[in-house]
Amino acid sequence: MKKRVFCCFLTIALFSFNFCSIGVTGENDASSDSQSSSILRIGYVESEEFSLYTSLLAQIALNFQKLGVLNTYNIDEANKSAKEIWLDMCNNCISGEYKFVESMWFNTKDMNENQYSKAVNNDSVDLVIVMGTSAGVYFAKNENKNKFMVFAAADPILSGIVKSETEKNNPNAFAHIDKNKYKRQIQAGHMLLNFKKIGVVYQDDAAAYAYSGIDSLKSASEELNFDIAEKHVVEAQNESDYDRYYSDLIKAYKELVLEGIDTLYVTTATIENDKLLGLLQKDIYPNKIPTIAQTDEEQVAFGSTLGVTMLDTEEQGAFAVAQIKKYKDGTPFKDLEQVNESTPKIFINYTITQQLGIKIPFATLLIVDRIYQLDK
Amino acid sequence: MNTEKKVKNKQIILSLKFLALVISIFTVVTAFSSILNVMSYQKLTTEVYTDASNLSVTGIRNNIQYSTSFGKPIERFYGIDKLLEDALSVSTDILGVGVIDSNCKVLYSSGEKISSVSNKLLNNKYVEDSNGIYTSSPINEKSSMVLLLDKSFVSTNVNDYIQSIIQIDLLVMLAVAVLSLLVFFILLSIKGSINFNILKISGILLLIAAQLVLGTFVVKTFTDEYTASVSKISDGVSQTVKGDLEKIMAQGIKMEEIVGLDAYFNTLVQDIPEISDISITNHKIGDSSTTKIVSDNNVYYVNVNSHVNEETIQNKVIEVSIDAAVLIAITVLLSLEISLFIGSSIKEGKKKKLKKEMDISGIRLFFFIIQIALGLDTGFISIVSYNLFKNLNDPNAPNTLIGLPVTVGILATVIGVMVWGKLISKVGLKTAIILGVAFSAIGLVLSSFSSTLGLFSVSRFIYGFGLAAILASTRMCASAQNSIEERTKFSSAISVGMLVGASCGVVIGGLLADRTSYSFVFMLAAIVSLIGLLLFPVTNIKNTIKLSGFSFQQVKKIFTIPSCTLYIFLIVIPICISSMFINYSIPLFGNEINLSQTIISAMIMMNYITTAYLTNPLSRVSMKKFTNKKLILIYELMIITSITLFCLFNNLFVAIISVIVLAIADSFGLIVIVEALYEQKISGLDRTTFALIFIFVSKIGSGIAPTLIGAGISNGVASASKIIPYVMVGGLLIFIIVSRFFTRKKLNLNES
Repeated sequence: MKKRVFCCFLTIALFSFNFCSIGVTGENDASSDSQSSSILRIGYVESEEFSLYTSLLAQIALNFQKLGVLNTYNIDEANKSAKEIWLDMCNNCISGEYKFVESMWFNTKDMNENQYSKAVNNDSVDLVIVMGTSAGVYFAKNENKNKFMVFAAADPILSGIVKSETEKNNPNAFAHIDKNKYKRQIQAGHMLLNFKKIGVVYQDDAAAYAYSGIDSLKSASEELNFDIAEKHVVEAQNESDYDRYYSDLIKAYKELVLEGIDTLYVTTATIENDKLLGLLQKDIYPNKIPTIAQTDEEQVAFGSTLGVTMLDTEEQGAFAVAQIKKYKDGTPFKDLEQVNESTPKIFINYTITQQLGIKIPFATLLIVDRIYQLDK
Repeated sequence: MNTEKKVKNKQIILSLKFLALVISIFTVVTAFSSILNVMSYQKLTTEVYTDASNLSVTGIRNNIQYSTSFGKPIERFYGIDKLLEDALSVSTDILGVGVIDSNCKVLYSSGEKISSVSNKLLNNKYVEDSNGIYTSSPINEKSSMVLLLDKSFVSTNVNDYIQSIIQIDLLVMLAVAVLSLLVFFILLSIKGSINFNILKISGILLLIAAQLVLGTFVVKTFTDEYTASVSKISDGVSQTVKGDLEKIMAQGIKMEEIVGLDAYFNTLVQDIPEISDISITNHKIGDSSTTKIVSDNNVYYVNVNSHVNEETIQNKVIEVSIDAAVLIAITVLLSLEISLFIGSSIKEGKKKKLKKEMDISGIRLFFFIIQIALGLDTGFISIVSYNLFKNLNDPNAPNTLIGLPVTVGILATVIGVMVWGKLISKVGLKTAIILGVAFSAIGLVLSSFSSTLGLFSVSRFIYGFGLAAILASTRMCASAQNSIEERTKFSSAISVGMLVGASCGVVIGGLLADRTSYSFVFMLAAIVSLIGLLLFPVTNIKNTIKLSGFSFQQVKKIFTIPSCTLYIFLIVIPICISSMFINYSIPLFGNEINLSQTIISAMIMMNYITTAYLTNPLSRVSMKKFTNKKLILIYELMIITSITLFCLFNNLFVAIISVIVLAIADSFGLIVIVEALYEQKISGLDRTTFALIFIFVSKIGSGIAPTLIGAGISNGVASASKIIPYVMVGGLLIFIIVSRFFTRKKLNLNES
């Protein structure tokens, strides 16, 4: 009898212990993957100073304003750097649920590794907004403690930031994915220009291969039956390296012209927008070769022939804040939707098309979202 | 003197009666044709209005479509709001603009919010509700542009048209009244005395003339309306071009620098044959629709030249002519039937009121009206069944299901004939007829609301059961007569009355279905059949009329005789299967080649009328010249040839020839196959049971047909209908072989 009582007691105790453990573990799991009650501390890291990142950060700020997290102040994207915008966000946070950490601002290009290594596994934040591929790759390899969300990375899957649209290599990683952006540009460009051989210049490394969309270009070349001519140039490493960079670029363009390209794909690079026209006027435009801008609208404004939006910062800013809010409200981090396509916009530089003798039919002009003219 | 005065008074009374009759028939027919004309006009106006509106936003739609080809997905289309606002500004009639996907889900909306769109819009030119008129045009295979249009344009035009129609009708009525009296007195002065038959012909001719006048008015109204719409379309196109040019020029591009304008104009107007050309000039051009553009102190004019498309007018004239011809046919048939009734009443005079027997002319008129009601849906039952089958969206569903509602209806008639055959002698003829009409009406109401094949089949079952009571009653009316002459008279009168009623019903149903919907026609059929019951007293049918009941014993007797059994299964049933070619295959064929319901119904009407009016003369002549056996062979060969020709050539012309040949064949064949069986002189078999057996057997044949034809419908109607001649040839050959075998056996036995 006593033995039986003892066995029952032991059994009950074991079961209770198990249930408690599961409960505790479950709670722990829940608290590590979703953020519901405490303040969400947010930091910011960018791969380099880049107008796209600045614009996207400004849109994130705007959307936080709409949520009532930030005070209504003038973000002034046009005149402020990313750091200034970030500082404004830190100083204007009026929400008890969010905090933007002033000390958690890093730029992986302008800082050395000793400095930006503090960005990962940082105790002062819970979530990091990461801009660009190289910073994203760094976080994917090194961040083990905090969640991080990568935006404006050219190809997060190819660069290894995430495994796929739904799978992660690092459970703390989130990356905005828009798989078709390069394809859209190339297809639109091909419809308009009907090129047979396209030239492209990019730095010869994995990151540049990814953010230059070379994979999509090769896939499109099979589909649309055109050839690709590639040249490699090392990107400008710092301010003093720009002369070398532009000289190499001009040489690369000349070689491409000699190889018989009929269109140039101006991929994401360290080209300063106000220098773009001058570069193209050397050999490309005199040989009546039109250009397709990969990065953004500004390149078309400054002299590229045509462009199709790769990233709409308005939309992606809204998307970014929506995902952060979902996480804050309790959605498990792994369940956040990563895919969000930007609404394409088409731009042309009419002055350049006139210069090149490209006749844009009226029906096509009607569908272009913005027509730029130099000196207008 | 007194006699002279009496004669004069009589003539005046007769003239007034004639006038009253003509005016009454004119009012009934003209009211009906005016309602149809107003419905047509409303439909036409709405179609022209929606077409013009869709065309006016062609440029914007092309813009969206072209953009999607540049990689802009319709679900995330930058700048769509601006484009939709541009569409709104094209015309004040456009209240709202939206974009929907292939499932009618609203993706974008501007102006008056379009929150949801009915799925019906995918298959119809427009859909109307309290908000306005919705119309759509495709952008690409995944999306369409939807416009919400202001209803008031159509309502105002229709109200104006109604006013005009009423005025025209009253004028024509006055003219008809005056002419009627004129004709009366001219005929009186020429002939000295006048009788009803002469008046009948003159009255009918006057009514035909009135329909022609109204038809001319309809054509003229259409032409005016269409011309006005062309002008509207031109203005819309002109505004679109102006808007597009201003948009581009506002971005710093000069007019002289713009290239590809011709290609742009071509895509704009490729679907608008009414637009001759568009040009941009520095000056206004003649009569063209012109809008002005001012840019950088330069003035340009967008000139749009348009013309009325003669082909469109011609097609409409043909359509109106067909409608007018159909209405004239209905006028004539209606006039004949009503005048027959009135003529008989005048002839019999006071005697009729004392009669206790059934009134043949009243019965004919009654069943004529009832059959109009029950015939309204004949032209599209198979089409409704086919559409409901398609809505199943089940690739595994057997095609034989297409014929299910029709087969079920006929099965119900078969069962009903046996049930009512027994019941009539118990409940009485009057109750049976009233119950029959009631059941049919319930079935029709349910048909109106049926949205699934199952429910539609149930409704057709109820309808078929009611129809059985009516059919059984008609046979019993004839068989209740005492002499063979009376039986023949009643049988003939009822048959012709019902055939003529069915002819009118099928075309009226077609005319209405073209302008409204199938559901509306089902409902109307129910209402008209119930109203028709008000005429029942003129039949003088009472429950006290003595009738013999349906006898199962006697039915068994027939099927114990091998020759009768073989005849029924190998000859009669295949012929009854072939009878469904007209009611089943022809509507499906018409639907396949996009014929209007009016034309489909007109073809069926042509078959019924030809049979109705050729039956008496052709059956008399043929039965004098040939034996029943030879006539049956000729009958079968005519059916097999006409249907085979249709199956081989599969075109409208051959279909029409088949319809006519079948009508001629039926005019003697339907009598012959009954007489051939009656020739067997089966002892103890009374005519009531005999008549009901024939309904029973013919319905079995008709019931099998839709299933047989439906099985092959995926290959087209012509291919599916091949089964009919196969069955007939098979049945005939087997019958001949077996008959010869039995004949030889009998001969051998006799010899031995």
